[in-house]
Amino acid sequence: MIANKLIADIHCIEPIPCNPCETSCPFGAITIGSDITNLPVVHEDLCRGCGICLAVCPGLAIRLLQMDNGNNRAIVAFPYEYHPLPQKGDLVTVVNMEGLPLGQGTVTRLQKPIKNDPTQLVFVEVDPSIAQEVRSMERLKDNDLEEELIICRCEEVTRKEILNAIQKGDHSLDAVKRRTRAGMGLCQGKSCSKLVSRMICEQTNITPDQLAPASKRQPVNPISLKTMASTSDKPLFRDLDALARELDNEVK
Amino acid sequence: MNDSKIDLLVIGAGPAGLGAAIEAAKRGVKVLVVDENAKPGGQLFKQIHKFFGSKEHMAGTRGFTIGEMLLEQAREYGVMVMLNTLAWGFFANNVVVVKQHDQSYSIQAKKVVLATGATENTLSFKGCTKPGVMTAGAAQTLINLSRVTPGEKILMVGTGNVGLIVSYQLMQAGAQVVGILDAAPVVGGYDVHANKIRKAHVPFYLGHTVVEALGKEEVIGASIAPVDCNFKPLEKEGFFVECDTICLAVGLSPRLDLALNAGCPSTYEPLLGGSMPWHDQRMRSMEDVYVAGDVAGIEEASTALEEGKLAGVAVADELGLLAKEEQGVIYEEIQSRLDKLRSGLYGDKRRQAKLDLIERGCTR
Ligand SMILES: Cc1cc2nc3c(=O)[nH]c(=O)nc-3n(C[C@H](O)[C@H](O)[C@H](O)COP(=O)(O)OP(=O)(O)OC[C@H]3O[C@@H](n4cnc5c(N)ncnc54)[C@H](O)[C@@H]3O)c2cc1C
Ligand code: SF4
Ligand code: SF4
Repeated sequence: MIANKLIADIHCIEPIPCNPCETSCPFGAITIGSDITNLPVVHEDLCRGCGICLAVCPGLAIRLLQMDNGNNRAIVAFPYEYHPLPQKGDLVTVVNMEGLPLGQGTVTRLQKPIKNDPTQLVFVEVDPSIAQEVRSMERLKDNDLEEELIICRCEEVTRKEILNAIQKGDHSLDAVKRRTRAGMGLCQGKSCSKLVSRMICEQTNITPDQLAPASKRQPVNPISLKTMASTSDKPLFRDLDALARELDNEVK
Repeated sequence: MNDSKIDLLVIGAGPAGLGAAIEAAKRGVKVLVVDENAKPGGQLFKQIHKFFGSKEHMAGTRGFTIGEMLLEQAREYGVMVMLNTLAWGFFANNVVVVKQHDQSYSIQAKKVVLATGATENTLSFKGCTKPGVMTAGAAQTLINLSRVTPGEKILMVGTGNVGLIVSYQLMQAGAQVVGILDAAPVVGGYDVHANKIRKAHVPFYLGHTVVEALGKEEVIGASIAPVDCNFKPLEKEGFFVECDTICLAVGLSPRLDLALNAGCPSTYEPLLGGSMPWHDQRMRSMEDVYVAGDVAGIEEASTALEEGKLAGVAVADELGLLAKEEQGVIYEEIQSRLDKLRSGLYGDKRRQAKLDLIERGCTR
C-alpha cells in the first residue's frame, strides 16, 4: 500500500450484486468486472483519493486512508450521515468496525464529493497506530434537541432561549425573566427558578449564594382582575366575634 | 381600610402555622389563620405514615392524626381558621389581602406569621413535559387525598425521605414501583425508610439519573443512565425502564413570595433549601413579621411545629401577653426540643446551618 497519499480502501466482503463504485470512479481505479457479484479491487496507482466512490457506495464500505501525511500522522476519511456534523478542528472519538472507541482524532476537513448529494465525508487526523482500524466516529450528541428542552413550563421558555439570554449578559434571575419571561407565568417561577439559577451558575462564575431570588409581584398567585377589584370596600368582618360566629357556622 | 385590626394573622395552616396560632391564642392573642386549601394541616394531611421523634414530638403518630390534634387544640383556644382562603398580597402597614372564591378582603394585623411552607423542585430532561411526569408531592396528594393512583408502574427520582416515603405509599396504594434512582452514590433519606421499600424488592439505581421520558403522548418508559463525577449522564450506558409515571422527589424550596413582598430580608442556605427569608432566634424576620416551618428553611413537620410555637410565643411576648414566670424559660424549653430534633447524622448539619444563618445576620 502506498503510505503517503490518500487512497480508497474498500471493506466489501460479500459477493453481493453491486458495482456503483466501479462505475462512479472517474479514473477507472476500481474494478469489479463482468460478474456484478465480484468483489471490488482498487488500483492504488490510479486512485486519486477524490472520495466520489465513498459517497456513492450504498454500503458505506469505502474509506480513504493515508498512513503518513508527512508529520507522522495518518488521515482517515469516511462517510458520515448523521446530524449534527462535526466542525473542522473538532476533537472526535474514532471507532472501529464494531463501533468501539479507538482514541481521539482531529477533524481536518469536511467534504461533499457529489454535488446535490448530502453525504458528507469527514477527514480525521489520527495516530498511525490506530489508523488501520478506524472506520467511523462516535455520533455527536444533538445539542439542539437538548436546547429545545423546556425550562419554564408556564411560559414555554426553552433552555436555548435562556442560554442566549445568559450569553447576552443576563446574570440574574430578574434579568433572564425580563428578556425571556421565564418565571412570569402561572406558577410565578416556583418550578423554574432553581433550574434557571443553576444555569446561570454553570455559565458564569457566579455562585448560587450570590444570586438574589427573582423579585416577586403581587398577586403571588393568579387571581382574576374582578377579584382583585373587589377588595377595597369589602370589610372581611365587622368585629372578631361576628367572624368567629361565621366560621363556626361553616365548620358545622 | 375599614377592617378591624386583629392581633395575629397566620398564613398557612400547616404544623408551623397551627403551632404558632395555638401558642399565641393560649396566651390570649386573637388569632386568625388563613389557608388556601379546603382542609387544614398543610403537608400533614397527606402523611399517612408514623412520624419519628420522641413522645414530646408526638412520635409514632401518623401525620394526619397530628394535624387533627393540632386543629382540635387550635379550636379549643379560640383560633379562627379560614379555609379556601388565599393570601395574595402583603402591603404596607401589615395589610394582607386574601381572597375567598372571587371575593377579596384586606386584613390588617398587628403581627403576621408567615408559615407558607415550600414548593417542590423539578428537573428538566427530554420529555419532562409529558403527562405522567409529576412531582412526588403531587403523586402523594393523588393517592392520599384524592384516592387515585397516578399510574401503575412508577419510577421514582430521588432517594431523600420524600422519595422513599412516597414510593412506599404508592405501593400501599396498589401501584408498582419499578425503581428508585438518585444521582448521588448513596441513599439520601433515612435507612429505615429505604429498607421499607428494599423489603419490597424495589431496585435502587444509585449514581443514576433520568435522561428521557419516553413515549409519544404519554410516558411509556424512561431512559436512565449512570452519571460521571460531574453528575453528567453517561448516555451511552443508558438503559430502558418500563414505567407509566415518573415522580420527581428532588427537594423543596421555601415558598417565599409573600415574605419578599412583605419586605423580609432574604438569605441563602443550601442545606435548608436555597433562598429563604432571614430570621432571628425567635423566628422574627422583620418588624411585626415572623416566619416558621419550611418557608424558614426546609426541615420536617416536627421542627416546623416547634418553630411555629417559638413564633407564637414571641408574638404573645411582644404583645405583652407572656406571663412573668414564662419569660425566658419558655424559649429555652422550645429551643431544647428543637435542638433534640436537630441532632444526629442529618440534624446536626441543619442545626449548624440555622445557627450560622442567625449569626450571619441578614445579608440581603
Ligand atoms: C412527602 C413528604 C413526606 C414528609 N414526611 C415527613 C416525616 O415523616 N416527618 C416529618 O417530620 N416531616 C415530614 N415531611 C416534611 C413536613 O411535611 C414539612 O416539613 C412540614 O409540613 C412543613 O410545615 P409547614 O407548616 O412549614 O408547611 P406546610 O405543611 O407545607 O403548610 C403550609 C400551608 O400554607 C399554605 N399556604 C402557602 N401559601 C399560602 C398563601 N399565600 N395563602 C394561603 N395559604 C397558603 C399551604 O397551602 C399549606 O397548606 C414530609 C414532607 C413531604 C413533602
Ligand atoms: S477515491 Fe476517487 S479515484 Fe479513488 S477509487 Fe474512489 S472514485 Fe476512484
Ligand atoms: S459500491 Fe460499495 S458495496 Fe457495492 S461493490 Fe462497491 S464497495 Fe461493495
